[in-house]
Amino acid sequence: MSEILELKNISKSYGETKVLDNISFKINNNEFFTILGSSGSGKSTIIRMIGGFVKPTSGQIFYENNIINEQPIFKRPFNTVFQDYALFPNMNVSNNVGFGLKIKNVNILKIKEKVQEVLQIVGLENFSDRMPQELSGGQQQRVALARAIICEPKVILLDEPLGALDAELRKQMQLFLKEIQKKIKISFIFITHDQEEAIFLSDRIAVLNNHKFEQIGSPKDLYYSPKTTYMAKFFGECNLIACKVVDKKMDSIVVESEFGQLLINHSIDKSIGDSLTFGIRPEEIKILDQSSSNSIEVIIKDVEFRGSTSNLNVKSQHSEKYLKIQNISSNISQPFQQDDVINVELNTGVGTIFKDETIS
Amino acid sequence: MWNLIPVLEQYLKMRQLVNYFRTSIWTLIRFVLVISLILIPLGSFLSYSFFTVDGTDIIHEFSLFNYQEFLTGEIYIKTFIRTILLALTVMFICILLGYPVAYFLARYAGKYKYSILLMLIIPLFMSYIIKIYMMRSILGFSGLINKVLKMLGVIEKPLEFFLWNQNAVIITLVVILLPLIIIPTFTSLEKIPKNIIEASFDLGCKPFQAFRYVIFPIGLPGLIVGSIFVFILALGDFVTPQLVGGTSGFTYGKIIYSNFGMAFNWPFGAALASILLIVSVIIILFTNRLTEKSKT
Repeated sequence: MSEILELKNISKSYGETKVLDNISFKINNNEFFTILGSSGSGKSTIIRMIGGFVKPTSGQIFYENNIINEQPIFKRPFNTVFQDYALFPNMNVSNNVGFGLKIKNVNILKIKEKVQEVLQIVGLENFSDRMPQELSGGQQQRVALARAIICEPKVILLDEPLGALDAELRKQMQLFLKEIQKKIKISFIFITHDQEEAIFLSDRIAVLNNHKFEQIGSPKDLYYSPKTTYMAKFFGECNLIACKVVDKKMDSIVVESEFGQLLINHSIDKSIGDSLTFGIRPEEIKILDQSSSNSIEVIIKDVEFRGSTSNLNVKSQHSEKYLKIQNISSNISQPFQQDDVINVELNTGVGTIFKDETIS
Repeated sequence: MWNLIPVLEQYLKMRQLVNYFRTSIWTLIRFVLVISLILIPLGSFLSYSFFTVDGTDIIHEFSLFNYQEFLTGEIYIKTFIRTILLALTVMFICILLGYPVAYFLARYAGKYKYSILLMLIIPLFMSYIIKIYMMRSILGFSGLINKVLKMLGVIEKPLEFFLWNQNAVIITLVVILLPLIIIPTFTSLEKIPKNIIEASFDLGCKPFQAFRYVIFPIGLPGLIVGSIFVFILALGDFVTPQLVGGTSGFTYGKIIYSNFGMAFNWPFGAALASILLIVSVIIILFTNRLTEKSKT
C-alpha cells in the first residue's frame, strides 16, 4: 500500500498548554483511518492541522512526500466534513454541493451533472432544491459529505461527523460511511470518541491519550495485542494481574501471583525475581470441568447476566482482587451460582505481558 | 352513592369555558392596544389629509385638494425627489463607511469587539440636537475645520463648502446615523459561524471569494436593515436641514414641519406626510422582497 500523507514529529501548543506532543503517523491510500480519543485530547487539532486551519508548533506534514506546512487551506487537496456540517445557509442543497466546483470555474452544465451524480451516491437526489435548514440532521450530514466528495479530494477529513446524531441514525450513518468509503476509494481520516464506532468503521485506529498516540493498528491488533495496560482496558475489559517471575523455561515462564502460580507461554527477557503485569481478557479464561495441574481454584462471588453472555466475578482463596470471566450463556448446562467453586485455566497461551507495571 | 361522572363533566365544561374567556380577553387586549396605539392615530392622520383649511380653521369635508396641490405645485415634487436623492446619498456613504467598520469589528477585533461597539453606540444616547450643534461648530465658518486649515495656511478665506448647504446636511446626517448601519451589519456578520467561513476556504475559496460568495450574502440582511434605518430616518429628518442646511438645504421633512408648525396647514402637512409614509412602506416592502430573493 502506498502512503499518501505523513505527519512527522508534530507538536502543538497553545501558549503554555500542550495539545499534541511529538506525534507521527502515515495514512495509506484508500484507507479508513480513525483517530480515537476523549474530548479535549487534541484529536480535532490533528485534522485541523492537516486541513490547514492550524499550524503545527513543530514538525512536518508531508503530502506525497512534499512538505505542506505552509500551503494555504484552499490549495490543499483535502476536504473537511465539519462536526456541525457547516452548510452554507444562503444556498440550496445543489448549490452547496456544487460550490467547490464553482470556485474552480468548472463549466455550469458539468457541475449540474456532477451534483446529480454525487447526490445520488448519498441518496439525496430528490432534495436538490431544499435549503439546508429544511433538512434533518442526517440529511445535512449527507449534504456535507457530498460537498466534500464532489471535489475529488485525496483525503476526506471527518471531524466527529456523527456526534450530533441520535443512536439510531448514528448506526445508519456508520454503515453508510463505510459503504461510501469503499465505493469512492478516497482515504478517510475520521475523528471520534466512540470506541465501538471506531472498531466498526476503521481499517486502522490511532488511540490518542495524554497528547500522544498510545498505539496505532488495526482494530484486531489493538484488541488482541495491546501494547500498554491503558490500551488493554481501553477496548473491552481485561484482567490485569501483577506477577513475579519465579522460574524460566525454554519458551515459557512461571510466575507467582495472588491467584497462585501461573505458567505463561511467552518467551520474554525477564529474569527470575522480576515483576511484570499479565493481562488476559475475560473470554480468554477457560472454565474446566475438573482440576488439572495448571488450573486454579476460584469461588464465584457474583454472576452478571448479559444476555448472550454472562460475566463471572471470581476470587481465589488468597486474592484481594476479582477476576472477570466471560462465559457464553447457552454453553452452560447448569448455570453457575454465587459461591460455586470452579476450576479455571489462565495459561492457555493467550493473554499479553506488559512491561509497564502500573495497574490502575 | 351518587354518580361522579356527570359532576366531572360539568366541571370540565366549566374549565373549558374559563379557558375560553381567558384567551378571548387576552386577544381583545392585544387588539385594543394595536388599534388604539397604531391604527387610530394613523387613521386620523390619513383622514386629516383629505380635509382643507380656510384661514386657520380646518374644514372637515372630504377633498383631494391637498394631493392635487402636491402633484401640481412643482416645488413639492422637486423637493421630494431631491430629498430622496439626499437620503440615498446619506445611505450609500453610510454603507461605504459603516460596512468596513462592522466587518473589521466582527472578524478581526477579537476580544475588543464589544468594547469598540459600545463606544460606537454611546453617541446614540446623546441628544440628537446636541450632536447637530456639535457638527455646526466643527463645520462652521469659524469652526474647527476652517480654523485648522487657516492656521496651516491652506486657505485664506473660510470654506463655504461645509455649512448652510446640502453638503452640510449630508455630512451631519452621516455622522448621526452611522451607528445605525454598523450595529445590524455587525450583528449579522458576527453571527456567521466560524466553521462556515472555514468550509468555504476548505472548498477552495481564496479570501476574496469567501467574502463574495459566503460572508457578504449571509451578512446581507443586516446591511439591508441598517440601510433602511438610515434611509428612512434621513428621508423624514427636518431638524438637521433646519440647523445646518441654510436655504439650499431645504428638505421634504422641513416642508412638512413648516406646514404643521408655522403655516398651520395641518391637512396639507398630513397629506405630505402620508405620501412620505406610503413611499417609505413601498421601499421597505421592496427591499424585503430583495432579501427574500437573495436567499435562494
